[in-house]
Amino acid sequence: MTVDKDGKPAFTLTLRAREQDIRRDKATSNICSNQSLLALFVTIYLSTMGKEGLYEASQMSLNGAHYLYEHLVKLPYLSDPFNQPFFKEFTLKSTLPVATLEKALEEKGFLAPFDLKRLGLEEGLISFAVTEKRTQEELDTLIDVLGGLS
Amino acid sequence: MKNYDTLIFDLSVKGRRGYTLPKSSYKDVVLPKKLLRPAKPELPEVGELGVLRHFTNMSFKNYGIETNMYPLGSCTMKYNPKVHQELAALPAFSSVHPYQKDKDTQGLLKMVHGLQGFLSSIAGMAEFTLNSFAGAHGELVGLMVMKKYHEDQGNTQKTNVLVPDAAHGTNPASAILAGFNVVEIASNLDGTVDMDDFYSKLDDHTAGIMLTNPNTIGVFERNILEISKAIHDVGGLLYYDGANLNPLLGMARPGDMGFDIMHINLHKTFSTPHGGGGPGAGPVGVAKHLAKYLPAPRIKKEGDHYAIDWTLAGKLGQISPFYGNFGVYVKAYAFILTYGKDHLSEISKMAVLNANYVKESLKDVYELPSKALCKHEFVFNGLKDKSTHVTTLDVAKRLLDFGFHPPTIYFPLLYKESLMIEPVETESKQTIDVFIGVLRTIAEEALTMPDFVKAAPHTTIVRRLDEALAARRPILTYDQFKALDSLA
Repeated sequence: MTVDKDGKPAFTLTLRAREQDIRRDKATSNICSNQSLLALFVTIYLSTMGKEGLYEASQMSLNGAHYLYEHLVKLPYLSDPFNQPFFKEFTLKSTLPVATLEKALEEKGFLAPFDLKRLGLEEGLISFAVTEKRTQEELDTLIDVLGGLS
Repeated sequence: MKNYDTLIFDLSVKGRRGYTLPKSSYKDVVLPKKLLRPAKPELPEVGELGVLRHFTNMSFKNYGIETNMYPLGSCTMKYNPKVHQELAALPAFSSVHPYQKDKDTQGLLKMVHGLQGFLSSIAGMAEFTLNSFAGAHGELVGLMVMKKYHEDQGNTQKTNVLVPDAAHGTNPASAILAGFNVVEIASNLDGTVDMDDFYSKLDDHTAGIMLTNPNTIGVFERNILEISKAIHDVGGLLYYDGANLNPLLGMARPGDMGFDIMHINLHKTFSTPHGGGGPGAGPVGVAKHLAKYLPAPRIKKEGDHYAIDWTLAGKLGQISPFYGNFGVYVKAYAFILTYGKDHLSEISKMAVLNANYVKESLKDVYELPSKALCKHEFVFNGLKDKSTHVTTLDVAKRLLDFGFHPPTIYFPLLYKESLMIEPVETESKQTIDVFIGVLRTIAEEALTMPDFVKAAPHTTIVRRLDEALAARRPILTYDQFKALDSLA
């Protein structure tokens, strides 16, 4: 923020003289991409959710993920190899082939679980994530499908 | 509401929110205290209608392509059809997860593969990668390809990249980041390469040259074939900065001029509104002998099936987490299909005609150093009559009073008072005539009432800003603003 010649508050782009369009081969970065449309989305989102709404969204994600976890970890072919606190994503180990889980869930319209082998981790490690956009009914269906495999 | 001056925090009332989540019957999970932040983040607390009005009112203070012409040279600020935005926002495009399997994303992969092919065909390159996120990111990737190629050839002495002094500033910055030395070559008055200086800097250390064609003065590099041969004769490569591709569409191809590597600023030429927004995309194209270096992942077609190839062997590796800025591809693909092969050149022809029309209509009152036929843009060196000391900055500020966004000023560095105009193909003759009329009026005012022009703008929401104060004492957050006694 700065002021105009009449002393009125105003916004301006600043510290630009360090960038590549002026400093050329002495610049410390070369990228001049613009992410401000995304920044605008984020600002509107955060303004809409507000201090309490954002907190609730994360609490609901936390709750949903733990609800799913509590049910899945009881299945005989799934176990928790880490047993650490988590937020909205957790990792389990499956003794059934991951493809079997994926196929059963896909038939009910779920793209899950994420096979961590794709990231180079060991066979059988799978990950689930739950956000505030998932309903309890959806999680119950997922639990039923995977429960049916044991 | 042009004078709307409220900050969103000014509207904040404790406990208010614009959205509530549906009730659930989960039990509340409590994480260990040491994992939690001590206090909730300081966010505004506003109802939905309050948020809607706040952002709508702010939008009225903006100048955009929706309000008037945007003659910013070097930026290609054309109108991009809204329907392409709508297509890119379709859930089947915008809600796909990058980890989904190939079998579930055949439509997307087909589109990406198709776009790679379109770009190769438009630019005369063998293959394209879409992974780079922006024009300058594309430059960096392209130069990394150049470096890897020379490493593979055992060309350890090839450490220099030639860059004209009139080039976009990203060119030298990218070359340095890729690990090259930059050797600057002089330009002629029309921005073309000074051939004597070029030959004096060309030697066995030359890894390549970076060129924009047409150059930043908007003039086609007439010696391009000679330059291409000379660079290739010393074992170097030619890099094409695709920032100025708009006037070549359907007319000429960098690949045919001898360029080995290039990027395209997809957002400029192919239908992504990039003013105040972004993100962009900077796909990189290469000649056949360099295709093996392109970064992973690559989209490939196997029979009727499209697949993502993550093989890293021999390649640059990965330069983006996934596949680049996908939404930009959808818009580019739709744009190219909308015009079709036979009509793409209408874009370039109209862009070139408009630029020459503006140039010829104003050259009696603005100084025109290069008399050459221009392509999509041209550069004045300020007013022709400088006796009243009205500068290019003053002209730009005065344009605001007439409701026009100013052109690019003080770039390229070739002239002292550069005023760079790119009218683009999407403006009508009526709008362009109004713009010309305003610039003529300002030229007249510069002689009859220079002090008034020097004090412009007079009718905007704020007047000339104290930019030195902003740099000396940066106020970048709401907390910094709150802590101030006085802004001035």
